[in-house]
Amino acid sequence: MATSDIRLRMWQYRELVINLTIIELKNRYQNTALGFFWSILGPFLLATVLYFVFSNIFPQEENFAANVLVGIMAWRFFAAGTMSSLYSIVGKPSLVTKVYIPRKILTLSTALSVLISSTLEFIILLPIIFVLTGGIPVTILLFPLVSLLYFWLVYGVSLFLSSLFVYFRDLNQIWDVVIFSGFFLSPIVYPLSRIPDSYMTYYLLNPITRLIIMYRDVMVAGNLPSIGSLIVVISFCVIVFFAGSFVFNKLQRRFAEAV
Amino acid sequence: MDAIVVDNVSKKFKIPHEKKTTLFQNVVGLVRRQFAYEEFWALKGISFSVEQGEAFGIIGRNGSGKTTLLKILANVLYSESGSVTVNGRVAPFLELGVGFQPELTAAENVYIYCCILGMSNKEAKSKYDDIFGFAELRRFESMKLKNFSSGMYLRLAFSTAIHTNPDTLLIDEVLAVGDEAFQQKCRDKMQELKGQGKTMVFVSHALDAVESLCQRSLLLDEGRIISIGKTEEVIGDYLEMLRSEWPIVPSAPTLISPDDGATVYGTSVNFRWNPSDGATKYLLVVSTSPNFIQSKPRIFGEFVGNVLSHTVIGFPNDGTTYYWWVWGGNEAGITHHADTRANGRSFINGEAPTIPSAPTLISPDEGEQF
Repeated sequence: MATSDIRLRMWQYRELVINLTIIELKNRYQNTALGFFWSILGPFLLATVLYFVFSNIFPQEENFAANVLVGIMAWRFFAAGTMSSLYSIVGKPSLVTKVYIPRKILTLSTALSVLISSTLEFIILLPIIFVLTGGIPVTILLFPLVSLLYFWLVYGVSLFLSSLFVYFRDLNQIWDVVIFSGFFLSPIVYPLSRIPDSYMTYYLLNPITRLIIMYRDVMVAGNLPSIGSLIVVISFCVIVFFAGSFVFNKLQRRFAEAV
Repeated sequence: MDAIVVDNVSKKFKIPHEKKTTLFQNVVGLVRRQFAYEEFWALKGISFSVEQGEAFGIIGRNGSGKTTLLKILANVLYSESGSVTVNGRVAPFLELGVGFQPELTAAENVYIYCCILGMSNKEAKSKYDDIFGFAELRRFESMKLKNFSSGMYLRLAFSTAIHTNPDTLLIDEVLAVGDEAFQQKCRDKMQELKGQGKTMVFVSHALDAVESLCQRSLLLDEGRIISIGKTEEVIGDYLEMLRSEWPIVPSAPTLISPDDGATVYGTSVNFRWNPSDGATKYLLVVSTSPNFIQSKPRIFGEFVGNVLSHTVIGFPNDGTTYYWWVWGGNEAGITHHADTRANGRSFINGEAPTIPSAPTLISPDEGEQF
């Protein structure tokens, strides 16, 4: 089947993508408005604890509280997106074995639902940033661009994970470890300036680091994202997305036998 | 015009000796060099075509590849080689209620199910009333699906699926679920859709259902086409195939037909039998002649396991005397022992069911308090 053919089908199924995304959100928040607030209570508590611990270690950092909050929310997008994508195929066996729909739709709708959750969480963050820093910079207008780039990366990784998880059911445990170490390998609870210069080149290879910096630039500091960072992140997104699609397309032929 | 063209399709399953489902097991398997697997050809060189507006049956024993073939037609499984072309919108009835979410309401689920079956929201909206009307669930449209009974669930799912206006229906034994009234409704709807010129592929063990619905059929065994053509002839070949395997069993398990074996309830007939030693499956045969060799017996079902009764729905209510047998069988085949043959019991269909006595209310006084 030609790739253009698949893309055409994905377009035909756009309403299904929207419906599945809505189901995903409804199930996540148990159909209640309060469900959403319960879900963000955790990260806010975590941010508070981390702020009190790390503000003593890095006392002179500017806007440290706001930066920790933005960093945690940005990390949550990646962690929640990839962790829930693991189950996007395996968790809906009847949609794989009993009916034909392009299987990428399942992974895409999971990723989209996480994008929406994440956007809502960032919106909740805005008044808090306003209180903490005394203003919202105009560069906030670039927020959708950063989020879209981030979404692209999360979707690319999700394609890998959701298709591999069908065959390797211990991937969730492995990915738990990756997520856990990633949290400390990204500048979330400590400022970037604490990384020794000799490690900086390797440290910045992590695209999440660059995305977190972009979020902080546009939401707190009021800087434009650097062109260099944009180029690195975009090339990362392209490579991960196409490699992920390739692996997914190869593996999806036997999904119905393995799910 | 051909609605479905299947050309030389083969499907192979690899069954590893050690099933590995985790990365850890794969690494261990790599170190220990465990790569051995069995090859299992579920389908081999299948070619046929189904015309637009035709109802086509697929019959065969358990494990003969019927469902695999249907899943390949539905594009759920990929074939190893060969090509499959299915024109138009396909409604796969491999399972009813695919993607139903228990936490959502019936109305929401109908929209999602329509969407999964390839309808737009707009189309779904225009069919909405028909769907709930046919399912007789109007009052429950805003109830959460988890509070539905299984019968309501099936009615809603079936009603949604047939209203998606498909060109081709792929049906896998869905009629084997639900109560008798529901099954009858399904059969009637199938006939109606057939009348509307829909293309149908129908997989079933119920040979009488296949015979009444399909003009042409295909007999599969061990993944190969044994015969293809007019349904009566293909069913004849199937019976012949089963019969040719009977003599393999040296001694017949003895069957006892109880006197009150067949009970007639209007157009439904209930058959019961006693278990026989060594039998792992039973075959129910009905004929109009006491000598089944001379007549054309109809096999009404093959039951694997300790099944000791069966109800045939929609039995012709024509006052004819029928004779019935139950044969026992095991892995090696089915017995046609002379004793078993002579054991045929007769019943006259068309007699009114006898009701022993009118039901009486236990305490009529309490009724008035209502």
